Amino acid sequence: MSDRAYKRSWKNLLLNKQYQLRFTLFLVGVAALLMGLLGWWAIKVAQEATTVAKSAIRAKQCNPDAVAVAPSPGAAVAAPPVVAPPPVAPAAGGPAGPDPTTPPAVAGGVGDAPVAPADPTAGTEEPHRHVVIEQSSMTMVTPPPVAPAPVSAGQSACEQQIVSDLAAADARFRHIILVLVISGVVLVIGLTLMGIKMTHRVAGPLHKVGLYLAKLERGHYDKVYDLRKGDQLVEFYEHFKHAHAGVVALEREDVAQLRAALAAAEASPAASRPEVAAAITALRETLARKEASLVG
Amino acid sequence: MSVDPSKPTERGVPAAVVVTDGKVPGDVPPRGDSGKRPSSRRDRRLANYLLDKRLQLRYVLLVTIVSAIIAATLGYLIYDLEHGASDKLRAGLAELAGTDASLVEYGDEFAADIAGRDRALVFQMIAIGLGITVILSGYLVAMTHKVAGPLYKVGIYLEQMAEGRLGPTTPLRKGDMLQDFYVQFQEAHGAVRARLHADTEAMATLVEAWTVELGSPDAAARAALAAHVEARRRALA
Repeated sequence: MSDRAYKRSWKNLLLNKQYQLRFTLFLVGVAALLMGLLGWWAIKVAQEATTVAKSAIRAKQCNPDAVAVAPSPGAAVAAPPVVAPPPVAPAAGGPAGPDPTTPPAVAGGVGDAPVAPADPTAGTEEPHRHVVIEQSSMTMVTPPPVAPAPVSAGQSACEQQIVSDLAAADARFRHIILVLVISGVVLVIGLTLMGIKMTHRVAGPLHKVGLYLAKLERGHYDKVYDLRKGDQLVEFYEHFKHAHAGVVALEREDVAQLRAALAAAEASPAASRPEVAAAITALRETLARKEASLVG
Repeated sequence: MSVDPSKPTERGVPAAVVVTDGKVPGDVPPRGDSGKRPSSRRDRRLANYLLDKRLQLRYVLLVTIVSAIIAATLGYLIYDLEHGASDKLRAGLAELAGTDASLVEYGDEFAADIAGRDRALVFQMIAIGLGITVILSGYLVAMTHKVAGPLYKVGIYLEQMAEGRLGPTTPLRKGDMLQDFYVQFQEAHGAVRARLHADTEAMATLVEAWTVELGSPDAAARAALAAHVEARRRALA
């Protein structure tokens, strides 16, 4: 393959692995280190900011409206309002409700034995089973579960807003991490490709000079072609071209001198002497080699 | 009289190497008079590090710009997050304070403290950015010098070759890059030099064997060849 046919291609991007990879790895390493350290700092700050934001959201107070409505299922599931349950009381209109005239209902007690009054804060703890014993008939009745206190529409919306704000704060934190990770990966890949491509513009001319040097070593003085567009080391390559031309000029001078000297020596009576004849024969071979090396 | 350290003396012992200005003779080949010479010792040191400004500064600028972009983007993100959190804290405290004078005063102090921390963060990031830039630039100049150095040295030999001079070459310094390329150059340079040397000696053999009488027609041709041999010997010395 001639030097002129050599074109940029992804296959031969790594012409000088040691030089190219060293610079590319340095570039990528610096970028990755910066990205890692600053990214870790950014994540730490984002975590703190999220904590502050969530605290501020939780600190919001929802004021109930006057209009009482049934609680929405979403709000009840996501953020159950803390409602102090009333003491165990007869259910209004219940079919088996205790008679108001009867003595206070007892929990877990039978007959006239003294019993402790129902705990008014029982609703906030583990739910207890309450039974009412009707003394007249000695039947045990289980009252229906205590209904939660009515929640206003405004309060429900406010609670929903709080829940969604908390979720948004978490999502924003996750989004920051995701963006940082993706940016880091893209940066590393992009810089690797850019580094290899950039160093290739230095390694390319060196590779080309190396090919010409190998020819010089073998004694072939081919024509030196220009670099490709975009290559670096243009000045260095010009130096090489001048050096190559300088060596070719030396060879041409030798050829001219040898031609003249050999012509004169062969025509001279001294040519009959064996040492002169041997020297002439050796120089004829030298001249032939030099002439051959300059062809092309 | 200058002595070529690469050539052994008559007794077969290599000649003594004289170290001048911290350099072994031939470490960096002498440049022609056309080359720019630094004016002072300090300039010379700086010039020695920036041998190929275009090549070296390109890398320095690339790495510095990439680092600056990363630092600026993430720095802004950090500042934005920190500032946003500070605003939320200030707002929360103001809401909590309401009309309570003592709490309002405390809130003002707290806000001033937070603002101070935010400013300190900005200065901290600017200082880190500048520090990174200076350290990276210095390191990269030194790193690229290990590439520019061999290219500079080869460039000087190439200049000499262009002038028809093919003297001996010396190896690169320890730690220099492009060692493979330099060895390739040395081999080619050595091969050309050896070939020209052998050809010169073959011509010298003819000159010695070809004895002519003064005034004979061959005398001019022999004299021309002898002069050529001398010139070539000087070029290869």
